Amino acid sequence: MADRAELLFTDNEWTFERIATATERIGEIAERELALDTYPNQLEVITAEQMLDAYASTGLPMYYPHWSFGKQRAIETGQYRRGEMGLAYELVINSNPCISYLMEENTMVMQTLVIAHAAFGHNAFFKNNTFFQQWTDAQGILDYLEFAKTYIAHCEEQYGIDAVSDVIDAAHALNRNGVDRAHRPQKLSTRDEQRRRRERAAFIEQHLSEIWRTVPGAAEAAVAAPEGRFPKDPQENLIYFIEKNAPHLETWKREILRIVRKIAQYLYPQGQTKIMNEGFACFVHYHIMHSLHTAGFIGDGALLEFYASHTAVIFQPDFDSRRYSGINPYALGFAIFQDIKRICVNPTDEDREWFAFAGDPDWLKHIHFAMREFRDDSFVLQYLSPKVMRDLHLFALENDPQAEAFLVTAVHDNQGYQYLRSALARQIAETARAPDIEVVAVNRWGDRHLHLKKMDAFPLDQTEAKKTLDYVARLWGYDVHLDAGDVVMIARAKATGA
Amino acid sequence: MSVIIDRRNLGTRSSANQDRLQRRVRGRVKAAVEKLARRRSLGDMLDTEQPIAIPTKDLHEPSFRRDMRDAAWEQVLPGNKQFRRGDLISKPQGEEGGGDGGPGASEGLGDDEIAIVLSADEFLSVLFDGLELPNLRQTRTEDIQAEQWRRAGFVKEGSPSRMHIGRTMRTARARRMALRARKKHELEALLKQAETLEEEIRIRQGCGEDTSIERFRLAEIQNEIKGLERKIKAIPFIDESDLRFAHIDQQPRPVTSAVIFCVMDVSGSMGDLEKDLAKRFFLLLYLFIHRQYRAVEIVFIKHHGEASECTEQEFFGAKEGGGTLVSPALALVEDIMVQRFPPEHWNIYLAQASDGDNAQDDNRLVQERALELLPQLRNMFYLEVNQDQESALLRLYKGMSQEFPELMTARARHTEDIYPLFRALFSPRQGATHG
Repeated sequence: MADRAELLFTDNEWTFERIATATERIGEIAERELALDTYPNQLEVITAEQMLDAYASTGLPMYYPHWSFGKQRAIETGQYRRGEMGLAYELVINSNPCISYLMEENTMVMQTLVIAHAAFGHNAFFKNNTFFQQWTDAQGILDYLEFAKTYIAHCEEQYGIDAVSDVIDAAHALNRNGVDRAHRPQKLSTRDEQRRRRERAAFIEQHLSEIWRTVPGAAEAAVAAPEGRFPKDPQENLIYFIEKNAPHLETWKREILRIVRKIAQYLYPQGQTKIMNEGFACFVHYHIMHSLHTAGFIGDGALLEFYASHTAVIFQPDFDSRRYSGINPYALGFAIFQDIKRICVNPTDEDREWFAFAGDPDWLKHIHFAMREFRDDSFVLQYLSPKVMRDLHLFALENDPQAEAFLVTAVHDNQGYQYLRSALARQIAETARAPDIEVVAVNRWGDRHLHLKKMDAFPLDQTEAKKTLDYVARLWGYDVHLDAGDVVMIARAKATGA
Repeated sequence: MSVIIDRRNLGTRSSANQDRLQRRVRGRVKAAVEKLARRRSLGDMLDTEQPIAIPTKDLHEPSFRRDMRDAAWEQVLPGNKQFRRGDLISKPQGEEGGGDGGPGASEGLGDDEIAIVLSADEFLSVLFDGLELPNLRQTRTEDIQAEQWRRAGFVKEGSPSRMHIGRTMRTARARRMALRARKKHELEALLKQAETLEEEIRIRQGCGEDTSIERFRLAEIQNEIKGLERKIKAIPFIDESDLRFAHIDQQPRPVTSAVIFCVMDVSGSMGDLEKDLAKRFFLLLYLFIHRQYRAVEIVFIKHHGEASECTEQEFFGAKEGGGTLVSPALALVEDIMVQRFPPEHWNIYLAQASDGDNAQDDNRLVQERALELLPQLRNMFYLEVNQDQESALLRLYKGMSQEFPELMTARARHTEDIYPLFRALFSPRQGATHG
């Protein structure tokens, strides 16, 4: 084999030079064969302890300090020490440059895999997926996190750690109800802009709070027009609403709410694209590792080691297995992306019936389109093929609380494919969503209570809801009512001793 | 473009989160630490890191979430083996909501406890949280100071005995080099000129030309050379301006060391339990005082009829008989103090443990000695162990403590008493701190 390239490594120890050359080779393949468009890469070698740190703060390279992250770390450290949890091989941050963590314990094969998976797969996904493009700002996130950390440190100094923690606790409770789902958030601004805007906001809050205006003339005018309901339309972003409209929340508390909200917003697309993101990254690393092997950059042993980790990552336990804990996003995502390629290059009659693009030899175009234009639920609805359903042996189960038994509503056969596909898409959309609770009204001329309403059909965990409402009341400063469908819960504000 | 960065030496960044977590559960941590302090010996506790279990329900983070247990749901699952459409699968009994839980079923945590690990230092800071040495505050600024001679650089004048040879020679050499350098350059230039002139004279003479002007110039140059050489030689090897003297200055220095005199009664009436009580108290005291000072010394003094200084082993191991006299022990404390730990340089603490069974007529002597000692001490502690009634000695000390608040007394009967008693002794008192 005279035309084969020289192996990048023969023993399995990683060195910085090897990582650099491997990254270069991988980059060439990614560009030439997969036409990946990525942010510049920043690879950071870290220890297992540091990986646990990163875990505790949802992977962000920098976070304001809070006890809940300490708790998370204590839980994970415990599990890790007891051997119940392996550490992920990689962690990658949606930022520009795109930061990927390489653990020092990894072998060189693993580092190569991680670079292909994270630094090119995830990286390209972050940069090109429309959802990420519109909902997050890779450019500004590192600056913003820095700002957030400094600001909160400043608040702790001025108002005390406990006072700050109280606000963060309350904001975290509303974390999942603090994102804009329907309209695009503003870009994260740089620090200076941030400061200017903050000052402006503070000024406005103090001087021109439209709904709380107490100028006599205005009040009379409002009474004269009682149909002037506020807010005009229900508001889904609870944190935003409180931040902007709570009657007398101190400005620094509003700013903290804003910080928590901005970070939640930044993280939101990750929960909506888990299957796609992981699936695409697996697709990329699978392709690249094989290309490296074919070109002679890695040996047979390395390829075998890669297979071992790869199969472990995309393993889907059966529903009745002890190891089952839901559908593995890596497994489903990888299967669908591989299948898109297969449908292009090697279609069956069934595929032609199901997919208009079956047989189009330009598989790369369709992979890119799928990666860019969807999120998990629509992706499944669009691309889950009968073959993948058969391979995974999918079936649908229905629970009627009154019935004695579960009912199998569909299996992987001709009658079931369509049904299964939409059921799975619906399920994905639902699990990725927090309970839909919206602000429907504020009692402006009476006791100033905030009226929330549950807008979806799913029952709410009431003990949880009660505790969360207490937090809302603490922020709002007055009573909060929640219309949860069958019950109305009320949280009193005076419990805070305000 | 890819950048590779080694972050491994940056260490972990979890300490801020860890601090806040401990803050959050400080009530529990404190209770756990105090429980440990009551039961185990302190030496054991400091040896290892202390994992403290905190129930996660204390750290619950609520949020709006669904409760699918009694709801209707539909779920897609992988791994079908024999089911067909329309099959009925009986629900598992006893478990709620089916084996796999509904979608979005309880997102609760698997484990119900987390472990918080305290380092020895953190452990102690929780243990001694909120305690203070009553007399430290007033005395810290004035008394814990001592004058000391310290080196303070070099000066140009001083007594010959403090002359610093090294510095002086260094300055002299620098001066010589500085003064010589230019002259040496000039000298070299002149020597070169002389050489070229000589060469020219030789050539001209060879051609039979007149060389009188050149010779005259050469003589001139040689004169200059001689003058320069003389000047270079005239630079003195050492000059008065080179002299340097080591300077010393008197500076105040805070005294950062302390000594604890542990005085224990080892007469026949002190059994193992009594000694154990005393030992626990001394150890806590040692650890507590050690947090205030950089170095702490301990002097062990045992006494029955007479007093002697001894090692730690002898101190806690010894069992001697005989009657009890307290005053010789206090006398010995004073002797050792005067000889080895002058009060102007040391923060002195005296801790005494006894069953209080002192000879009647000795108490008067004890009072005299204590009155002499007390002004020189930061604090004096008296622990009475295992007496059913307050002894005459305790009553005496109590009476004195009206006048000397730095004298503190306590009584302990069980191991569990020691830590609470210790806390009571060192909790800041309204009158003491604000008065």
